[in-house]
Parts: sequence; C-alpha cells; structure tokens
Amino acid sequence: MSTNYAPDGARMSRVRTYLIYLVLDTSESMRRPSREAPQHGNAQEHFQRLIPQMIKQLSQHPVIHSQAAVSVVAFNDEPDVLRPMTALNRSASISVPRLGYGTDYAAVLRFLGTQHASDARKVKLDRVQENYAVEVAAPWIFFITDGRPGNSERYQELSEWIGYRDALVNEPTGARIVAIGLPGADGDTLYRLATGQPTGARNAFIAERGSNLRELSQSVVRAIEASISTSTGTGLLTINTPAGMRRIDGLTS
Amino acid sequence: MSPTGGVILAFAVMLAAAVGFLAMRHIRRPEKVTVKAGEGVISTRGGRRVQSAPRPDAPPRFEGQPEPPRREPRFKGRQEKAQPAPPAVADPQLTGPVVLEAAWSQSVFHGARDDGAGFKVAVRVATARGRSHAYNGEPGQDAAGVVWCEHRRSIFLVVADGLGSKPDSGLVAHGLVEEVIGRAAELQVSESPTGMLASVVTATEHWVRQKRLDGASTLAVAEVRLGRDGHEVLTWGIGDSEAWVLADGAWEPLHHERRADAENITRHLPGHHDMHRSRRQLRRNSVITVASDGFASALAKDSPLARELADQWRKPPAALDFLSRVNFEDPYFNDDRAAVAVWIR
Repeated sequence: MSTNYAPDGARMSRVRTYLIYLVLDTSESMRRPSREAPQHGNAQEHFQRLIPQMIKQLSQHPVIHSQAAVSVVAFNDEPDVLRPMTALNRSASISVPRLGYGTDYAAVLRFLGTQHASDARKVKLDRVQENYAVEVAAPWIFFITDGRPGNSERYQELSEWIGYRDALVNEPTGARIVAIGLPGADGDTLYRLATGQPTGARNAFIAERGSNLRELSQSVVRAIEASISTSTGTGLLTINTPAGMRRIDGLTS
Repeated sequence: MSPTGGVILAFAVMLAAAVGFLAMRHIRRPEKVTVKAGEGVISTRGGRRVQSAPRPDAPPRFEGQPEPPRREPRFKGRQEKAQPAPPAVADPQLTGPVVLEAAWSQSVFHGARDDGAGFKVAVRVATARGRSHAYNGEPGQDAAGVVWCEHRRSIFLVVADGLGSKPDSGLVAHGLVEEVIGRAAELQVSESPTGMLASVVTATEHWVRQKRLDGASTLAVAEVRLGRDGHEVLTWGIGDSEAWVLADGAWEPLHHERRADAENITRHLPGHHDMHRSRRQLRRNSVITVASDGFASALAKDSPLARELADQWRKPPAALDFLSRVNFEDPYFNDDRAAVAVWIR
C-alpha cells in the first residue's frame, strides 16, 4: 500500500462523501419477457419500480442519507441521466428512460468518466460547510446489464470499450465497479468490467440458469441497498452475492 | 355616620397603629456571627443558634477574597436563574490498568495519579459505538486504555480502532489494547517502549493467525513522562488513530497519518510493522489526547471541535461531560469513538 500522507493533513478537518452511480441497461432485450416465464414481466419494468423504492429506503437511513449522493444513469444507444447526482437527503425525481436498442458500453463508460468530475464538484459545493474540507471518495458504480456490449448495428470489441473502463477505474477517478449480469449477459465481459476486492475476487455476478426475473430484480436491488449501507460505514465497497446469482471466478477464455 | 361615630373610629385606628409600632420594636433581626469556608452561615435567631446549609449560588469566601465575576445568563431573552454547579467530585486514584471497549455501550473512566514528586495527572477515558454500527445493529470496534507504570513513573495512553471491513476487528482492537497495557504496566526504566511495542506487534500477528480471526486494527500509544526538569510525551502509531496535545489553547498533532487523497485506507495490525514515532517537551497544563479517527479526524488546528475543546478542556471535565464531548453529534461523523486524555497539573 502506498503511504500517500498529507504533511499538513492536520491543518483542516475533513469529512468524506460518497458518489454512487446506478447504471441500468435499457436496451431492447431488457424490455423483453423471458421465454420460460413471460408472466413475470421484463427486467426493465422491475428495476424502474424497485430503484426508486431503494433510493427512498436509503434516504430514510439516518446515517447514510447525509453521507452519500446517488445518480441513476440508463444506457442503450446512448447514456441518459434519469436522476442527477443528488444527496440522499435531498429529493430528486427519476425520469423514465428514453427508448433505445443498443448496449453501448463505450458510450456510457466514456460518459461516466467525464460526468464524475462535474458531479464531484457539484456535491462538494453542496456539502461545503465552515471549517470542514469535503473530500469525495472514489465513485461506486453498480452496473446492471443483460447483454454483450454493442450498438444497434454490431457488437463492440473489447478494445472499443476497455480503455474507457480503465480510465474510469485508474487514478485519478479510481472508480469501483460492481457488474451484475441478468440472463443473457456474458460472464467474461462482466469480469473484465468489474473491479476487485482486496481478497482478489472481482465484484462480477451473473444470474443462475432459470432465475425468475422478478425475484432476481428484487434480490439485485436488495444486495445493492445492503452494499451501500455497509460500504458507506467502512468506506470500502463490498457486496454479497445476490440470491439467484453467482460470483464469476475468472475468465473462461 | 354621626360626628361622634367618626371621632370614635379615628381614635380606634390611631390606637391600632400605635400598638403595631410598639410590637415591631421587639422583633430582632438575625445576627451573623461567623463565616467559615466549607461551612454554613451560623446565625442566631431569637436566642437560638441555627446552622443553615451553604447557599450553592454564593459559596463562602475568605476575608479579603475578591467578589467572583458575575455570570451573564447565556440566553438573555429568557433571564433564567442560573442553575447551581454540581459539587466537584475528586477523581479516584488510578491504581490498576484500565481498558474500555465500545462493542454495545458507551463507557467512561475518570481518575487521577500523583507521581509522588508534586506532579499530578487527571485521566479521562471514553469509548462509544458509532452511529453507523448502531443503526446497522453491529458492535463497535474501538478500544482504549490507560495505565500508570510505577517503575518508570509515567503514564501510558493506548487506543486501537478495529477496521470496519472485517468482522473480528473489535476483538483484535480490544486484545491489542490489553496486550499493550499489560506490558506497559511492567515496563522497567532500562527497557525500551519501542521494543515492547514491536513485540506486541509480533504477538498480535501470531494470536490473530492462531485464532483464525478475520480482523485488524490501528494502534496509537503515548507515554507521558513527568520530571523535575520538564515533562515529555513520546508517541508511537500504526494507522489513522491519532495523538494530539492541547497547550495554551492551541492543538498540535503528535501523530497522524492523514492521506493526501480521499482513500479510506489505513495501515493496520496485523500487516504493518513500522511505527511512526514522535517526541515532544510539555508544559504544565498541557492536555495529551490519543484517539481513534472517529473522534480525532474532527480535530484540526482550527476546527469547530478543536475550538470548543480548547475552551472546555482547560480543566479536566466531569466524566459524563468528557464522554459527551468525545461522542459529539455531527451528521458527517458516524464512526466509533475511543479517546484517552490526561491533564498535567
């Protein structure tokens, strides 16, 4: 571990705030019911219902609501901010995602890299108070997807999006990414997208075969909520495997 | 009324007034005879000696002692009568080692120690579970301790802050403080505290591995040495628990490892061996504080907490007051708290 100490660090008292991005794939396949159980609806409608409920729950937590800010970003052919980065103790509406077809990883990862800088500035200004320096922790990104990266015309090669991912997770942004794959997602892609824990395991999860979409959506949202709740206390992003999913141990190829 | 009736009525009124005046001349005012510090006002009333309790808002004064300054009410609009100050309670002697942890409750200790050569230290220790752990239904993970070392005629202050990301960290922090306190109590003049702490680091690694604990902790230690030629404090630290000195109303850090970036990463035990050290000469009326980052990170040379405590901690506060200062309320500070402070008198 580096010893990146501030020689005059004791001059100011500092408080830490967390920026959290919930990134939701809203490509065409997310609006398609599963073949096995069409009566359970499609993944997008479940997340559109569950994410506002989760944000409401977190905003009522007496500790987290003053420490964290949450943004919801949808992506298909292009990124779409549904909830701007807003502190949990401030209200903000969540808009309905624009209709689209692709799963453009490159566009959304590039967007997050640029958006984070302005979000961090905004939250710092929002939190500013007498004699406390506000430091913004590295952002946490919960990335929910059900498909391979690609736009409406073709799949995206790894080289087309991995650079934007690396720029996001390397310094100075240092983002931590949890990749959550619904039925149809590609395990290797999720593993490459996710960042790891100190133990070496990566925060990449994929749905077990035959999972019920409605229950799966609920378990994913529960796991994210618990992760935010615990991680905000320790300052380190940790997440338990959502029910109906498994952690991806490594690349298959 | 007839003229005769009016004359009779006026005469009756004059007679009643005369009787009243004569009766008042026989009422004797109480006579103050002695006033002694620590005793009540003794007065005589009607020939009987009566001892009244001392008035709490007007303590007895020695002859020639100046009037105490009048205290202005804090809220002028309300003009409430000032409440009497609670009677001062002497600190009990610090005899044995003290170790407090903050798993489920808030704890506080107060004591004092005379070094036998005219110097005295007042001691306060407090631990509190942070709001984050409390609202998640989890135990706090900080521990703190203090011990007087008779051989060295010095006092050791110890704080350990368990890492929240590991479930057994509270156990590790508690064990670490107990280990340091136990060894510091027996430390000889010829022995080195640095060597003693290095052996604690090794022992802790062995113990955590043997018990298969999933836990880690920071550590901060201070030794305050009292002497005719001056007092000094030595500090040792691994991680983000801190040591500070308050002197002449100003706070100065003795040990801190605050990072230049916003990463919530700290050095810890087991895992790290190098102890950062410092040494500082002290004056009388200095206050040495060793604390976990839940409390210490709110200290800075000019932070609101530092300003408030520079005023409030000029003298050792009452035990519960110390606990409430350590466990201050702020929506941004939700971590566990552990702090040990000594006042050199």
